[in-house]
Amino acid sequence: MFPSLADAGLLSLAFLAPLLIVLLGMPPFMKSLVRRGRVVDDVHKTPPTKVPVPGGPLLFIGVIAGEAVAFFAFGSLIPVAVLGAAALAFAVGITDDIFVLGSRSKPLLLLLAASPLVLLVMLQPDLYQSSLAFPVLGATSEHFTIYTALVIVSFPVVANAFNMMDSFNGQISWFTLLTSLALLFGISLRTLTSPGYSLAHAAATLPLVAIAAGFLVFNRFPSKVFDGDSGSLMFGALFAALAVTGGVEIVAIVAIMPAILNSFYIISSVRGFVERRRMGSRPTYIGEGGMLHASMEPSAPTTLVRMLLLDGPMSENQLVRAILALTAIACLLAALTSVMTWVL
Amino acid sequence: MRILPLVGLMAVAWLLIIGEVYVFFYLILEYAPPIHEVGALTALALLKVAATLALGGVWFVVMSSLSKAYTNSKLRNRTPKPSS
Repeated sequence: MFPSLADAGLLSLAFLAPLLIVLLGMPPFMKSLVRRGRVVDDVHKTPPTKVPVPGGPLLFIGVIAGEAVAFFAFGSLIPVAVLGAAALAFAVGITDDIFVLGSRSKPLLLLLAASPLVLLVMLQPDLYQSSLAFPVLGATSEHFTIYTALVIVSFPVVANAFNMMDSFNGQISWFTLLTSLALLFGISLRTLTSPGYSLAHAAATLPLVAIAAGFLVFNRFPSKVFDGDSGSLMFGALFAALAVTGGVEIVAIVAIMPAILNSFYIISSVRGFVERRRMGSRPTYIGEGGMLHASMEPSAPTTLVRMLLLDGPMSENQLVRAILALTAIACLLAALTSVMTWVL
Repeated sequence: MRILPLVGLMAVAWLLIIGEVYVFFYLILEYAPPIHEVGALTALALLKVAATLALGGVWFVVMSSLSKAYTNSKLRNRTPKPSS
């Protein structure tokens, strides 16, 4: 389905509203965080600088605005389900930002983020399809129970994967922007090649792209604000909800492959869910001139960052660029997967 | 250039995920032999669960073996050798 001029205007509004909220709202919001003493040390700077946190609440306001535009413009429950998932993940994240949740309670609570999708599919049966679209081979048959169980499990997995990519200046904002663009490409291609496929899918995706782009302005190196878990968990839940409702699950998995590998390495090397603030030995350390080094201790947790640093020390900026290069390659693979699924 | 080995790891993970999701959705879930006895159906269900867990196990073993091999080789290269 190709958008009409009016649809294009509404899609632009779903993008611009959250973008402007983040761009215009973040400076006063940062000031209010500083006034209330909500700042943390940026430990990768020498000497450490103070950075306001969490920026997540303002990002959430941006999501509400964007999804509201998408809902009123296209009259589908998709933006409502996506917003519901984001709201629940945001609630878990902001609780963690303020009180620090346990390493096991966080993933368990994040299972709830899938509930808006599971409940609203009863009102709108085409909210998501319980089959997977494979490159070249086409769609599998429908398996509602198994698929819904996988959807529920996917939320803590994806949200935590995004959370674990939130360690360095600009890392989470760049990562979310690149992966959401890959997601938008997949959803747009599906919309253009599938007659009757609602534009609501693309409209619901645009707010994620917009808040990631707006947040990048303030979060890029050197960061002026951090998103906190309220931001990173919400980014992950939004991504998962959009992948499920958009029917681009395989594309989404491919796009966030660096994050999936990073969480897998951490969980497998520390043998379970361990809160990063409570890890016994650190995977990296800061040496002279603020350069980041890999820990040479064999017992240190394996992370994507440590694997990159095993070849030698890097500055924070160089490290983020290397991670983004990996993400860009994953997103290109995701785009290729989209073309193979809906064009070939 | 230091990202190349990690791109390789990512490509292996990608192929395994695509391959295993295919096996799960197209082969395991679709396998439905013409049986009607409760015992045989239960055994089939358990077999499907075991096959699914095996798929997860294969991914886990392959990916952790590759990362361990990569990390150990880098640690060996960077550990100073005693001079004779």
